[in-house]
Amino acid sequence: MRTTSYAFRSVLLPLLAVTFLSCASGPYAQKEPGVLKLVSLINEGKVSEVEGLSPAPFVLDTETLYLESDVATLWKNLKGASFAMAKSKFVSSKRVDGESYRAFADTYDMKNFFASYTGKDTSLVTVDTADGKYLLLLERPIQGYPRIRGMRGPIQ
Amino acid sequence: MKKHALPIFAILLLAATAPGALFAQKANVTYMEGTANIKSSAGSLRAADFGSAVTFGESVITGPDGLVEMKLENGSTISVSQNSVFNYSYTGSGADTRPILGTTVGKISYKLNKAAGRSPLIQGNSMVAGVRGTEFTVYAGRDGSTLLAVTGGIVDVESQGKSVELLKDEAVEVEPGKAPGAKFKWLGKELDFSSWSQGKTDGFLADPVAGIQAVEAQLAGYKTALEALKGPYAEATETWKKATARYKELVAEGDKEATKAYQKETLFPAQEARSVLILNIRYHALNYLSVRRYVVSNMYMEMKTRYPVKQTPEAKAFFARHAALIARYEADIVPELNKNDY
Repeated sequence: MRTTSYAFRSVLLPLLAVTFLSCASGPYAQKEPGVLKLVSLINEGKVSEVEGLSPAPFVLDTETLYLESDVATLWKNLKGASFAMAKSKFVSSKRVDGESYRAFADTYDMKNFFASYTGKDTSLVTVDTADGKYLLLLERPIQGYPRIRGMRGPIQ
Repeated sequence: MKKHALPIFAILLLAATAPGALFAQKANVTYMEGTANIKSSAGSLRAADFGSAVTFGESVITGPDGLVEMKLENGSTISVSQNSVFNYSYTGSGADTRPILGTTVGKISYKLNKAAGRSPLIQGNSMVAGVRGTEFTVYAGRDGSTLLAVTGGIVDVESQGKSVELLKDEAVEVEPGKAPGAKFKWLGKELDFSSWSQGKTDGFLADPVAGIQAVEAQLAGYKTALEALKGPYAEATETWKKATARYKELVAEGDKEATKAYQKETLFPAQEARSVLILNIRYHALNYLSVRRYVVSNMYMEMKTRYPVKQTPEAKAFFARHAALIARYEADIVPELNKNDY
């Protein structure tokens, strides 16, 4: 009994602590199932759910939307336009780095947006669709869905 | 009635003398509802709360349920309604520091007491206004238009070199790139801002190319004013360099009295003239940035989300103009900005 207790304190406890800490603070990488779940939500036009997953500021192509109401309008309008990422396929996911802003636009605004509002938990995800490629800026999930910080596309 | 075109306004700022930050007035949050953030001059966001201080270079951004009321040190109050952006900045320096109260998006009401120093400048996307202890509301449409309605006191609204004086219960609308429209009687009844704002957005959507052209005209005004200062800035820099070189010679010669006199009579004025020109150039660059950030971005969003994949010829024409505008902004304005301006 004493041996078990000693082993728990000296080996298992630190191991659990390390595992827990690494889960909490390690970078988060997006995986295909989560990305496709989010794409489905967008395609189904579930505006209020997608809006809840979209913090401001939000990037749309080359532009930054600072107001929550603008982000809400974005999703409402897209639904109104029957927007869907048809025949979507997950292509890739990579962690955002110092050069990722160029994938959206090689501009002052994008460079500073990425520097200010993306981090180790932000992934640059590429999704192929019938209309072309979309780039998504995704963050740690909430209730199983990735948070979406930006979108660019379709890129032919 | 005052008449100050933007370039003249910029020249008036040459009277400034010392760093404005020393005279920075804080706006303290005295009441709030819902969500609101304060964007620092370094670009980071922090949640606004009771007692939060908003300083020069910062912005208040309210959410759909947000309301922020602030009080300046002289007792003046500023009320930022939902879905609005308030920018707090300044021009000039030292005793000539002049606060700028900016309404970039949404609806902001001001009740200003007479200030000890220079009275604040009221900035909209399409106009500037001077006030003399007064009460008024500024509405900023997403097409770049501004509507200013006076509840008490006198407000001089200026745009494109034209000025309109508003008295109690009077209002005026200023479209981007244009002089103030005809003033009209304001019967003290609260304007239905959401209907006015929606009307502006609908007007833009009815003719998006004309909408972005109007904003281009507004931005061209900022660029012209900025470019006009580059020559004087180059001259001031040359004068300052020569003064610095001569000052170093005097220091090397060891004549303390002559050095001190030269410093006071030549070197410091040269430094001040140059730094005020830098502030004025930045004033126009930051105005450009503000319109680009909150008006042009919103126009793009409205169009892109209506035409996310297939575009009408009109939408294509809009996007072509938008791309050209962004290219001009990168070439002409970004060199005048630093990363903290973002």
